[in-house]
Formats: sequence, structure tokens, C-alpha cells
Amino acid sequence: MGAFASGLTRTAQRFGGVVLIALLGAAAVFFALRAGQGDPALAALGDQATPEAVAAFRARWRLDDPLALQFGRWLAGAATGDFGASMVIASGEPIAQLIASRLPNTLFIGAYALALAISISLTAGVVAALRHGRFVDGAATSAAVLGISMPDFWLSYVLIYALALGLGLFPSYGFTAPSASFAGALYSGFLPALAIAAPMAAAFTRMLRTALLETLHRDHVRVARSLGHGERFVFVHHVFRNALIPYVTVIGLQVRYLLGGTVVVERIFGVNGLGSLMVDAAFARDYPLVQACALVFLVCVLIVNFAVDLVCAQLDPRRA
Amino acid sequence: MSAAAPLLEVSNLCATFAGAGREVRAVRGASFTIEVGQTLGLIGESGSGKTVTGLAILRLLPAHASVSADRIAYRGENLAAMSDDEFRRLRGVELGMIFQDPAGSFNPAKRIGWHLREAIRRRGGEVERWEAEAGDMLREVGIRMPQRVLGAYPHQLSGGMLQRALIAMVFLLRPALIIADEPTTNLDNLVERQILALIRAHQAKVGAAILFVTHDLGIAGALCDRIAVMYAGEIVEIGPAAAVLERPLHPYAQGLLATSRSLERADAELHELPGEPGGVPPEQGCAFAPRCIHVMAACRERHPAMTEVEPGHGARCLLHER
Amino acid sequence: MRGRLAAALANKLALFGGLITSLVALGVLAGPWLSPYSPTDADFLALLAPPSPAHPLGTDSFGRDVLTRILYGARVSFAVSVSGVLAAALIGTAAGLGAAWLGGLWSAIVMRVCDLLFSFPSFVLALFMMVVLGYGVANIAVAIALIYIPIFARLSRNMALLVRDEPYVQAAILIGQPTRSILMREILPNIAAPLFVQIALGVAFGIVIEAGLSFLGMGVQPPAPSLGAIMADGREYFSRAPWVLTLTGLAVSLALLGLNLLSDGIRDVMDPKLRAKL
Repeated sequence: MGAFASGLTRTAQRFGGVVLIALLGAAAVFFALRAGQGDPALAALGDQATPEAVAAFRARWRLDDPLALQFGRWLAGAATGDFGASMVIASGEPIAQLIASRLPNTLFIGAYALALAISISLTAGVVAALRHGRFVDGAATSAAVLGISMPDFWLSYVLIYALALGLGLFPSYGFTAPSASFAGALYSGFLPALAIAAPMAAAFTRMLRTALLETLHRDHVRVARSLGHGERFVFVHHVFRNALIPYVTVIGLQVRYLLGGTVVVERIFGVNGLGSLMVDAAFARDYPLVQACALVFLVCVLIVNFAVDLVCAQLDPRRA
Repeated sequence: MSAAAPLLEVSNLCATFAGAGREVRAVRGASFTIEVGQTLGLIGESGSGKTVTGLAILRLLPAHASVSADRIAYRGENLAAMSDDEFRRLRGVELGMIFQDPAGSFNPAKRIGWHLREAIRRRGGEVERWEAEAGDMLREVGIRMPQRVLGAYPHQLSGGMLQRALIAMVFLLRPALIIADEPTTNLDNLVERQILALIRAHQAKVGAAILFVTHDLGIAGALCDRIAVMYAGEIVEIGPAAAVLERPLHPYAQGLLATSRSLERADAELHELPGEPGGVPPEQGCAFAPRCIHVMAACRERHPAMTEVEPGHGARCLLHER
Repeated sequence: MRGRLAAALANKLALFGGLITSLVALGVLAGPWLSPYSPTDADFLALLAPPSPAHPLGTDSFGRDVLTRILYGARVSFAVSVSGVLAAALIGTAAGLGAAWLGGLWSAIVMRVCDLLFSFPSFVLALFMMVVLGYGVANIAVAIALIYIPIFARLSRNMALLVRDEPYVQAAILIGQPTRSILMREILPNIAAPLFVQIALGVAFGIVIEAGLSFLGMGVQPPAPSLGAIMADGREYFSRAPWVLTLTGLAVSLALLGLNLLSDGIRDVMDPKLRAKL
């Protein structure tokens, strides 16, 4: 009971930490853009805009209110999912709607990539550790080093060249939203997901292999053998189970690279996601949209890391 | 499988580690037997090969170690002829081991109860009533609140508690031979005595044989029927406990005993063995020759054979060779 | 036997990594003197020429020699990445050591800022900084620094906390050695190896960030070459002249491979006790 209650308290504390970072992030994003050199009015109206037009624009978007007031208004809206309206790209359209239509695609690609990276690395890492020092291990380890040396956008073109243009197995451009057809999304999203997943899979494989090899030499593994437990039992319950702890931790640390990877890859493969939306917003200097995208990305990472933290606490009683 | 066969018979056991650039011969031709219900003490300084002997018998040495023996027989059956999988089935339920470091012996991610339940399952016992059986065993090894220990993770318990739980886990498998590798090294005196007492009580109850690895002559004297003294990977003296402790034959055993006596009496003048223990044994001759006070010219040339001086009590020393 | 084999192999790989990195570094430093061509002047007689003895990696749509562009572009990419990561190493390590030494409020502030920077998807943070600061080479370095500051700060803080409890540091504190000299003489040398590992990895990652931004068109502006800018250019006529994008990508991979192997090598020779604690 006591342990359960203290577990709840710790979960609440962790959640509090997440909220704090989200608030800090909102403030950082808001004030950094205000401190930046750009003028949203000129960005929206063009450099030749008349002073009257600029004044009207500033009045319409209430840009002359005190910064703290603007921030409070924005934060209160953001908390309820209202990010205001886009200034440039889809002038006047609610940003919340834009994000709602784009975010599922990005989450789909991200989850798809994560699933690919996890399945590849679990297989390769376990096989490499079990065949330590043999040919398979060498092959997996070398592939992993090559993998982390392949940036995702460059790998994207290799995949397009080989699998889409060359063998014609996959479309080279375009993405079917999962809401329209889940199977279509799996098919059309495979190459972008793989491009993001490959370097991740390489990093995860290296981590898992090292963790497995290190755990194999722990005393409790030898003790389990001395009791006559079978090799499979020892590997599953004493080696793999414990190596999962650093493995999951590293997955949490890599999420920021994974979600970052969606930005360029979405552009290359024509995925209508949050990443490509943010790139468009950045080019158009649509400040409220950039601000909202950055915050949503931040919250995504925070949520995933929060989940990873909970899983780790489950896996490792010393950390609970 | 004759009735006269000893429980464990080890003959000319060798274990070699391939280290960086050179080979380390950790065990060099160890031979001994253990009868049913008997306790053999394996004593020597650290690095003398005691632990490796135990691990080699159980086939638990890492892959870079190579083990050979003329014969390792359990109840008359040759273990060396068994495949790894056949041998695995003997481990735990026939040949058990209590390790030195109780904190590292449990999986930190699993509760003590899980470990004990899996031990019962491994034995083929009734898994449904594992909690009752594990609780009884924990009580037997002196844990007063078994439920709390069963629900605890290893990091939540003290070293003494963990050692008791580890012993309980090994006992649950009911092995006929227990290799106990310095099971009380990291514990304080009081706990040490309690744990030795419960090992002895369990042995009296189920009639298990024990190979007791220790560097403590006092413990060996109190616990063992026979004692084997190891030096540099070799058994240099073996015999009944009383005989070895009262009339040691080998100069190394004599020195060890003098050291331990002077420690007991807190003497001002400490008997110390000259020279450094361990090191690389010389290519030929007696390994102890560089430190021996009775060393003769022949000691550096001829490797002494095990010579029986009185019935069941022998030493590997030229002083006793005829 | 296997342990030795693995160690020898790791050493060989580290050596290989060092070799590749030196080769890349040589190309970066001596690039302008290695090639007879100009990186920016168009040659309309040799548009999109495939690889040949005269142009080992072919030419692009302006007839510019791709190898020359890569050599010049790598200078820009490396300069941006190295300066960004070194700035991050300086600022991050200083902040982390300060947090370890002063503790309390300062430590809390540093660690929260790190948590924040660490929670932005890396490339999103870079993109965001391009909007705040404007496009340009120097601003990419700032973005790379922001991405890498939390890594150096956390690493140096954790390591310093470990090293602080070592007897030799405690002794230095007891005999009243001034804080600054303890940090510089006792602590920094003992945490240097993992910092170097992170610098090597960081430079590799910084190249990816620069290339990604330039690839999108927010980094180095044409006609100036950078690895990402050349690839972005090559994307336009990828199906007609795949060598521009592909071979530049291979050059990027070669540089990353060298840095990754090198950091693996440094990690392997690191004090195993310290490595276990990380």
C-alpha cells in the first residue's frame, strides 16, 4: 500500500515536471520569436507595405498590447487548444484546425518509424549478442555503424532511387492519410518511416547489444545457471529483461531525433504532416503558426518521455 | 552405480584461463572425493584456485576457460561424458552452489519471491503452494517475517538477509551436494555464526554433502570432516580435519596454521609466511619452494607427488616422499 | 580469446576511424589547393557531365566540378558544425561544472534549461532558430550549439559529481586548493575523454543538421556550396544526374563514419570504471 502510494506521488511529481517544462517551453518559444529580428506585419504584407496597412495589421492582431498580456492571452488559448489564427499561409484560418489535420500524419509516421526501429534493433541486437564474436555479430555491428552514418534525408533518396524508381515497389512521393486508408498509410508511409527508422535502429541495436553482453556477465546470471535453469529461461528473465532498462532509456533519449527527422523526410516524400507545415510556416514567416508547431512538437516529446519514464519505473524497481 | 561409490569423485581437475598474452593455470590437477553427507573444506589464500575448482565442477566458468579432468563422477556416473544439456539438469537439484556475494546473486529487477518460486518450479515442486513452502524455508534460515522478504526487491534487503534468502533458494532445490563458496565473507561475526549454524542444521536434517570453500581455518575446523589445502592451484595436503589442523604435514599448511593461531591469540609476534602468495608457479619443482623455510635443492627440480603419510592423510612435499 | 579479438578489432576500427577523419580533415583544410576548378564559376560546356577523369565526381547543372564543390562545401559544413559544437562544449561544460560545484538554485536552473532544450525535437529547434535569427551560416552554428549544450551540461555535471567524491579531489578541497584550480586541474582532465567522445559525435550530428537546413534552403544560400546545399541542388535534377546527390551523400557518410568510429575508439580506451558509471 505504502509503496503504491509513494509510486503515485512520484508519478504526480514527474507529471508536474512535464507541465513545468511545457510552460517554460511556451514562454521560451513566445519570447524568442518576439525578440527575433522579424516583423510579422512585414512578413505577412511584404516589405513594400504602407505604414497604414502595417498599423491596421498590428491593430488587427493586437500586436501593440504589452508582451506579457499577449503571452497570457496566447497561453490561455493554447491550454484549451486554441492557437489563434494563421497570419500568412492560410490567413485567418484557425491554427488548431491546421494542426489537427496534420498532426495525425506525423504521429503515424513517427510511430511507424519507432515500430520499425524497435523491431529491427530487437532482432539484430539479440542475434548479435547471442552470436558474440561470430560473423553475424560482426555484420550487425558494421551495419549499425554504417546506419548511424546515414543521415535520414540522404537515405531517403537512396530508398527512392532503389525501391521506388528502381524496383517500383513503393511510391516515391505522396502519402495516404491513415484516416483515409490505414493500409494505404502503411504502404505509402513505409519509405519515409524506414528513412527515419534506419539510423535509429542502428543506434538502438548498438545499445541493446552492449547492454545484453554486459548483463550476460552479471553474477545473478551465473547463479540462475547454477540452479539449473534452462538457457532460454536465463536469457529471457535474467539477461534480456534487465537489458531492456537501458534500451528503453535510450529510446526515450532518441525521440527528439526521431521527431526532428520527420521534418525533412516529410518534405522529401510529400507527407502532409506537422513537420512540413512548420517548414512552410518558417518560409512564410507565419509567426503564430511556427510558434504553435514548435510547442506541439515539444509537447509530443514530453508526452513520449513521460511514458518512457513510467515504463522504466516499471522495469527497474530501483528507479520507481 | 555401486553402493560404495562416493558422492563426488574428482581426479586430476585442471582449469586454464586464456589471458592477455599468457595462459593462467588456475587449477592444476586437483583430486579429491566427497562421501554422502560429508563436508570437505577447501582452504587456501585468495587466488589459490578454490573458487575456480567449485565453478569448474559445475561447468560455470566463462567461455575463455578450458577445463579438463581424468574423471569427475557423481554417484559413480561420469559427468565429463555428459552433454551440456544433460549436465544442466543435474545443476541445482543435485549439485547446488551458494555464492559469495549475495547482493549480486539476485536479479535486481525481480522480487525475492519470484526467485524462490522459480526455484520450486525448477525442482518440479508444487508451484501452486510455493508461497507456503518458500515461507517455511525462509523461517528455517532464520527470517522472522518471510512475507516481507518475499515481497521485497534485492536492493531493499541487507546483506545478511540476502545471504539467508540465497541459502533458502539453494536449499529449496534439495541438492545432495552443496558447493558453498565463502558464503559468510562479507558478513559480520554474529551473522556469520548464525548462518554457519543453519547450514549445519540443514545438513543434519537432509544429509547433504558440502564442499566448503573458505580461507578461514577456524570455520573449516568447526564445520568440516575433511580438509584439503590448496596452494597455487594444487591441493598440497588433504586429510581428516582434526589431523590436518593438529598435525599439518605440508610446510605451507603449517605456516597457515601458525598465522591463524597467532591471530587468535592476538600475539605481538605474528607468524607470517615469507614472500608473496600466488604469482606464477615455477615451470618445474614445487610451487611453494620460493616461500618455503624447509626448501631443499631438490624442491626446485622435482615436482612432489601426493604421498599418504598416515591413513587418509597425505601431502605433496618432498619432506614426506620416500 | 574472444575478449582479445574484440579489443584488437575495436582498436583497428578506431584506427580506421582516425584515418578516415584525418583524410576528411585534410580534404577540408587543403581543399582549395587540391582542385584546379572554381566552386562557383559556371562552365556551360560541361553541364551535368557524368564522372570522368577530368571530373572524377561529375559536374552539376552549371557545369561546376562536383568534387570541388564538395571540398569547398565541406569547409563550410565543418566550420559551422565544429564552431557550434565547440561553443556548446564550452558553455555546456561550464554550466554543468558550475551546477555540480554550486548545487542549489544554480543547479536547478541549469538542469531545467537543459530539460527544456532537450525536449525540443532537434531539427525543430534548429528550424525554429532559423525563423528567430534568420537564415545564414552563423545562425546554424547557434542552433547546433543550442541542441548540444544540454548534452555537455548533463554529462559534465554527472561526471563532476562522480569525480568530486574521489579521494584525490577531496584531498585537494581539504588542503584548501582554490576552486578554480581544482576544477581545472583535478576534475577537467578526468572527465575529458567522455567530453571528447561527445565532441566527435556532436560534430557528426552538426553536419547532419547543417546539411538538413541547407537542404531545405534555410542554411547556406546559393551559389555558395555546403554539403546540404549541393545535395539540395542535386535533388532538382536527381533523375538526370543522380551522381550529384548520391556522391555528395556518400561524402557526408564517409565523414560521419570516420567521426563515429573515432568516438567509438575513444570510448573503448576510456577508463572502464568511469565508463561503467555513465
